[in-house]
Amino acid sequence: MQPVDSFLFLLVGAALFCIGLTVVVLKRHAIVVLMGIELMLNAVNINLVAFSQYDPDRIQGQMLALFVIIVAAAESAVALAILIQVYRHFRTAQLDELTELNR
Amino acid sequence: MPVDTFQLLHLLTAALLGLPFAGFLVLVLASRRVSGVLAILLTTTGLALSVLLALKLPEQGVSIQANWATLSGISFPIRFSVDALAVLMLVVVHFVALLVQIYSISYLHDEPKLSRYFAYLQLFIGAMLGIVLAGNLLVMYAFWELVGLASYLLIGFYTERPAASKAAQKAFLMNRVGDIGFLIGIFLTYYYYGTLDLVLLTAKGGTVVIPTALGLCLFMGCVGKSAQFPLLTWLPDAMEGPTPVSALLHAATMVAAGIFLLARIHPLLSPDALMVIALVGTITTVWGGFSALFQTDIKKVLAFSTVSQLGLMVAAMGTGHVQGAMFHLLTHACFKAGLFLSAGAVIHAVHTQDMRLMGGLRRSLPTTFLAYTACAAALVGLPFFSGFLSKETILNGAFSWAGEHDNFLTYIVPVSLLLSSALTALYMARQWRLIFFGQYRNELIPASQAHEPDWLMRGPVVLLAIFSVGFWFSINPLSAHGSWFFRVFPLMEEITFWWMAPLSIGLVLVGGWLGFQMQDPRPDSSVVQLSLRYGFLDFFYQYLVIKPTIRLASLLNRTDHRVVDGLVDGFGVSVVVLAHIIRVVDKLGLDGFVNRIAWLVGRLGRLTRSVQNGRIQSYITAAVVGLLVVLWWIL
Repeated sequence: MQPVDSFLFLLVGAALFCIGLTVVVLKRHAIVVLMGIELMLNAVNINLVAFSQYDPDRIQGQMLALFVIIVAAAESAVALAILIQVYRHFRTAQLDELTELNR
Repeated sequence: MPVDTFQLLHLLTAALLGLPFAGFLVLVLASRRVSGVLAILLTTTGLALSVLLALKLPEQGVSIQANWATLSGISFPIRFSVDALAVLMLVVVHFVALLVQIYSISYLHDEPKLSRYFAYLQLFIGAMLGIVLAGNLLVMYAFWELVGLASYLLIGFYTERPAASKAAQKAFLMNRVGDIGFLIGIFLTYYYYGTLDLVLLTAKGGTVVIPTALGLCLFMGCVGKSAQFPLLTWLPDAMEGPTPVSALLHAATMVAAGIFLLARIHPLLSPDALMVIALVGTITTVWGGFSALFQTDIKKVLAFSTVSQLGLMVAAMGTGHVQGAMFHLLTHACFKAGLFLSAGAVIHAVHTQDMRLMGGLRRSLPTTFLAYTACAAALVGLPFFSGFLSKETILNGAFSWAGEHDNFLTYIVPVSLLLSSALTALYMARQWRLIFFGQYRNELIPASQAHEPDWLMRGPVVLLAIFSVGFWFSINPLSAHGSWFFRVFPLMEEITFWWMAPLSIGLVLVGGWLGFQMQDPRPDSSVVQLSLRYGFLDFFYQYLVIKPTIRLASLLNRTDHRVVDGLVDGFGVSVVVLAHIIRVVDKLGLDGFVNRIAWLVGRLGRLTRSVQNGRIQSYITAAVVGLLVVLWWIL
């Protein structure tokens, strides 16, 4: 089986990362921003999997990707929990209105 | 002469000067009951000290000197000196002052400001002693002004009377006119001789050619103080003061200060100056005598008589007979003080000064009548009285002076003096008749109420009347040449005209008879008006001096308002305008600059601050951009 050129993987990963970054930067709702972060993590995962073809024996990239997925899930859980507390406290999840750092 | 005698004399002189001024300070604070006794005690001490000084005085006199001011090498010492003339004046001043103060206790017994009155009298005595003892012109000038102040305070003593205040101001201002001349004279003296010391000046006077202006300027002091023509109008007004004050200041002592000054500076007077002095004295004598003629106020007659007698003394000075003038000063002090005090007794009895409301008082006031008659006889110059002796001396001197001059016109002076003594008899006889003879003419106060005052007032009057008798001054009643006075102050030449005594006695008798018989012309006749208003001298001053001065003052006032105030206002306005301009420049320029910087910094701050806006997304953006920049830079 002819291996797919890794350049394409990297392209997709980069595109995904850019989309995620764009979502994180532009979207106002905190949950959407979290979704952007997931996108960026997944872009990294794609990169990891793609580079994993150069290590067919130990497939460390794939192992790391799995690890990242787990960490991302945990991170999402924690983030959502924080988000719920934030919503309760401020009665909003719009990042525009949460300017507590500007103190 | 032992040293301790000198020390005693110095001590005496200092005590004499110090006592009255200390008395002034004490009496200002004293209560009115003790003030009179205290003042009399002080003056008695002064009299005793002066008599002691007179007895102990050495031939050459005594002097005290102290340095006062030294200006760039020129020093002005304070110097007091005692000589025979000074001692004579000391005794006269103390004697008259003592009698006047005793008299005042009774005369002013219900005056509330009594302690102040006696304090002023002490101030006057101190100042007068200062003039008498002054050893140089500067010291004399200082005390001269002090005497003017005392006179001002005493004339205006009845502060509740506006006329008294006005009279005091008039006296003070007219004296000031004379004093300015005196001061200029002192400057001139220093300029020409380099010293103001009277002894040194007397020594130099004979040797150096004397400028006439100097003598005339110094004489101006005498014109003011001794009420000479043309500054004589303050003296009649000064009669607004209490009668004892008139007796002491404005008859016996203060007005004599001018004569005393002339005696001191006599060597500094050039022949021309002496001629002017003689003429001024003559004019004053006649003017004063004529003005006394138709006065209705008892004190004003005496005031003009004083003016007239002072003129006589000045004329004697002008004719060079210092001793005669000083002798007349001495006798005049006694009988004129006596006259004033008698007049005070009359006023005390009938409560008016208007002679038209008196008459026939010889029955109710016998003592006063006799004393008045004795003093008046001395004033007109009847033989056996003191005035006769001094007047004869002066007239003899004046005739011999005129004889020395080639010019026939100089006889105007002695002849006028002779006629003025007849004039004296005329007005004194008229006054005598109006007060003591005829019918009592006042309907408001019955004649039975007029009674003699107590002995505190009668005593001094009687004593002064006794001293008006010629016996005290000369054993020979018809000539003063044997007098003790001329043994102390020897006459330069002793010319006696045989026709002088009979002529003057005849003139006096004729004048007296006329005055006694004469009925006053109608009050609105021009002669009476001319006499009453003393030759319209005050109108002359009113229109020629006071009115133009006031007009000049108001002109200056207007100029001040328009020009000077305008200048000041303009300056003020321009400053305000300038201030506005500066304010605008400040606001737009400096403040604008400062504000602009502040605004810029604020803007910059806001710009910087906007980065930290609290939006997490912009932070992320920044982080990403930064990362990209770093990456771009590294790769």
